[in-house]
Amino acid sequence: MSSTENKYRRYDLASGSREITIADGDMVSINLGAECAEGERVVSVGRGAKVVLAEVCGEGSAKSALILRLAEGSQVDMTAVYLGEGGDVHHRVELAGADAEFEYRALYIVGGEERMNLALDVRHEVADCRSSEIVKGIAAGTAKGRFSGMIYVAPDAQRTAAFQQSRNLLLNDRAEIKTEPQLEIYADDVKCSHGATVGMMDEDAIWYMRQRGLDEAAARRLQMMGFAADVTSHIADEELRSELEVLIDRKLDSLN
Amino acid sequence: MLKVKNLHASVGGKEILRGINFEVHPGEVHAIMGPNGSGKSTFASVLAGSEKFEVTDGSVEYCGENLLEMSIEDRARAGLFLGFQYPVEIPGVSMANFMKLAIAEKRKWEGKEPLTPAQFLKLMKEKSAIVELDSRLTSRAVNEGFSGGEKKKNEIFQMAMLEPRLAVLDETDSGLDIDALRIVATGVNRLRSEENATVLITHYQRLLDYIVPDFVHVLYKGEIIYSGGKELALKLEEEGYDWLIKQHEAK
Repeated sequence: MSSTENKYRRYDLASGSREITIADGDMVSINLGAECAEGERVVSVGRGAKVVLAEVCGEGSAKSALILRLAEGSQVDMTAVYLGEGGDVHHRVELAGADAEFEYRALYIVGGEERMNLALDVRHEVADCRSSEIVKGIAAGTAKGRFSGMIYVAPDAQRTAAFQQSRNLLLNDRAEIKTEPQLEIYADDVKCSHGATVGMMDEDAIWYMRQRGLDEAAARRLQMMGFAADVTSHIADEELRSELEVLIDRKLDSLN
Repeated sequence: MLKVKNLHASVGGKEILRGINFEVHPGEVHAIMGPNGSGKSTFASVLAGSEKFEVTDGSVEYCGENLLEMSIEDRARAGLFLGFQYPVEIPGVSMANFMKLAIAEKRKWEGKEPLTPAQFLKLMKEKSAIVELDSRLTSRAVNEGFSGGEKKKNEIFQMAMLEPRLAVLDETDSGLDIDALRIVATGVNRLRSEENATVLITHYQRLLDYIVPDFVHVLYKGEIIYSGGKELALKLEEEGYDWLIKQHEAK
């Protein structure tokens, strides 16, 4: 995406706007902002339009209810990052026109007693659409994270390709992450998969990094940054990416 | 440079090292051989400070310091390098970024200024050429998706970057085809100097055709039971360890 980034027009989001409509064939990048809106927002993406979407919450508790509607041949590449105090996020994606494509990368980090609830509902309503999601969570303290990921494939949505991955890192044995994949598939010619892991830090990697001269804290930090990199490294907008790296750094600092 | 005296170490109450005595001076290359399970890898890990093992007795002096009191990272910064038998993958962390941090720590320890980005890039280029490491690998995540041979070359690349005083290479030859073995050996030979030393832990004589050691030691049941010159490796290759073990057990 980075080589074509300059072709994307920045879409100025009017504050408080609930309805965003992207015209057919348009190419835009939308930053839904660090202040997460209350109430529901709808983004309708026109035929053949390409949209790069970011929702970043750097402070406070995230509240997001977003509906994305993808028309025929449209593409949406969404990055969602929550580094505040957890929150409640509902994303519903309707693949409503053939050949639409949705890519989603999300990251959240919670510590202390924070709670994060992330629900993603991807609905393949017509044939020949593709969706791919990766959701990553890091939990410390006695924080709790929960991801529920629904993939719905309607009876007529043949030749659907839908993939979901949930990868989670617990920094101690009191933190908790629940991951609930749900698949409702009513078509028979589909490619769908989901996978979920919840793990602790890789102590062998810490040992390896320390043997190269990094102290333990730096090694742990580097491993966490590496874990988050799947989400951050795909962001083409350099300004947003470096802003995110600072926010991630700050959030990780607050976990100690 | 390194003085190991009567070193005992155990894991989960089981003694693995049972009184190792071992000395390394600058400029030397030592090979440690021995049957499976004799404690070779444990010895390497204990020198590097692995927390999996408990040192129960003995002492290790490294460049005048009490090595056993140093943290893992301080041992590394002071120039002790362990080439891993199984190099670890670190997803999402690029080789370049990893080496940048490692070199910065080492230079800080030595009281030197950090490298400029240009100096660092030059160093990366120079050192990756020594082990014929594909420059694309240095922009990838540490060891992720590397083949067995690439992982081992990558260990020697890191060794070249960090210029250790004492390199302990744990089975760096295992799983290598003859071309990769030659490249790895050439890399190690090029890094040899009068100031540094290398300890090769190996199963096979094969590696020692390429890197000629000054001393060969046989580790058996956690003790060095025999030491000799480079010709000992050939004898072991032909006759195995049995004659040594019998001789040792007769004592």
